Amino acid sequence: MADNTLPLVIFTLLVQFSVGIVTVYGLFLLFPHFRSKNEIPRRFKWILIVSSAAALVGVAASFMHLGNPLSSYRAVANLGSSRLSLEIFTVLIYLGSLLALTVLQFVIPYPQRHHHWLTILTLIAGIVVIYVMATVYLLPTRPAWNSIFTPIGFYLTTLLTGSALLLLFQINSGSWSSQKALAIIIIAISTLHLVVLPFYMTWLGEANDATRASLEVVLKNQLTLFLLGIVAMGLTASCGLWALFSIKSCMIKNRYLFIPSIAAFIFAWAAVIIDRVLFYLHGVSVGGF
Amino acid sequence: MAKFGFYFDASACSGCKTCQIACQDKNDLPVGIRFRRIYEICGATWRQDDQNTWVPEIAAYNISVACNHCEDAPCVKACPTQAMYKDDNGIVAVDPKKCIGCRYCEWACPYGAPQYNKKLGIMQKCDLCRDYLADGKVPVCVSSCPMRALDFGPLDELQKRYGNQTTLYPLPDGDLVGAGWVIKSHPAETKAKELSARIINPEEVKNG
Repeated sequence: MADNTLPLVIFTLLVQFSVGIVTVYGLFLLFPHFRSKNEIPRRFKWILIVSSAAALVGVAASFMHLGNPLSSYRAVANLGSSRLSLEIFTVLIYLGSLLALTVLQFVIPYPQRHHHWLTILTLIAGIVVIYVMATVYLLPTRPAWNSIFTPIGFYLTTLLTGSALLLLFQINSGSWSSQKALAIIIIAISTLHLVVLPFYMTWLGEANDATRASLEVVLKNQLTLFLLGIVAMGLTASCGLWALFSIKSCMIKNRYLFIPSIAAFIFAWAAVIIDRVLFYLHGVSVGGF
Repeated sequence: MAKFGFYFDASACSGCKTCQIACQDKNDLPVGIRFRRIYEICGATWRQDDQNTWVPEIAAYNISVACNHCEDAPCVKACPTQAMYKDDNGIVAVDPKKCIGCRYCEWACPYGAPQYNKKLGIMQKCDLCRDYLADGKVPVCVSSCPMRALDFGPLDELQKRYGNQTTLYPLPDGDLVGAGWVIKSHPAETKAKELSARIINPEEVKNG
């Protein structure tokens, strides 16, 4: 792994985690039948604190991959043609909107109409950030990254990490319907991760010499890491299932939800970290240069 | 203004790396930074002939690669700070004052031309020896080549003299980025493709 890759792993994962929190939070806000009446004001402002902290740490980490961070203010100078410029610009908009929403949750008591509007704005900005972030890697010179699997992977990571955190916050005070919905999202996303993987591997093996070289990196050089990633994702789905059954069997005693929720969160993070490290490791250039 | 470029004759290159060393010396580059690199391409297998004897089949040659100052330079497009730019002669260069060392140009370039200087925290690359050009001289890699495998000049003149080939296995398709160079193939190129030949000195040419 190149020297500058670790900060990128931290940056992309934390920003996706932050957007995932806002996305799932936004869905709960917009679709009230998934939650009880007083659920949002009580806990969700703390969720926004976590989301903001993740985004801020992620952005701070992104500076670590620069050789000359003091000139980083120049990074939005090429919005016309550089996807990296666009990524930085959209991340800044998202961060501004998220921080405003977080501050507002503490200053003005919920519910207010502008909360909804600002949440929707932050949600849209977050979805755009993930898309633009994916396009940064859609380079013809890096064929393994240059496919639909990159945005799919980024969005799945976003939803998985976000819903895993929200389930943690729901342990003691969430409604039965919201806990159930979150457990189902975790199961669905982690299963989808595992379902997409064989399609991606098949595509890598068939597309061209560079993608075949990328496949070789994964299956020969990084086989142990790859298998650990699959196991972690499988365990995430299993813990989601465990959580779902815990909710069903004991609606009041939420302590039964504690272990599967914590485990799902830990395994989800282990899986996405491994997945992202492998993503950077297997991005072989065309011609192997 | 005329657009300049390199010509590389793979059939003449012996892989002596004089061009690489001359470039490093002229630009005073530290270890690990090579504006011009020699990729050693090799593929081999065993084949049973009609007398049931196992004989080796080998394809091997060298490719000397610097920046190709592409028409549609992906590094220029990718650079978020506009530090990477094209001048009037089509030379792609880096403005060290603007470069933030994000290394995105490195990902975007199919030839590995932009090189990261860890000490300075910025990207550096071949600028066709602009100072030499101003003095009427050719780039140092061209003048140093003992095999005369490298040539330099206005791209249209090179194309008239040597043709339009811009791709050589396993180099990426030159049309992908409008590579501003001309290549003469090595006779073993077809065999190299059949044998799925690869770069056998990846550690040596790696930036860093």
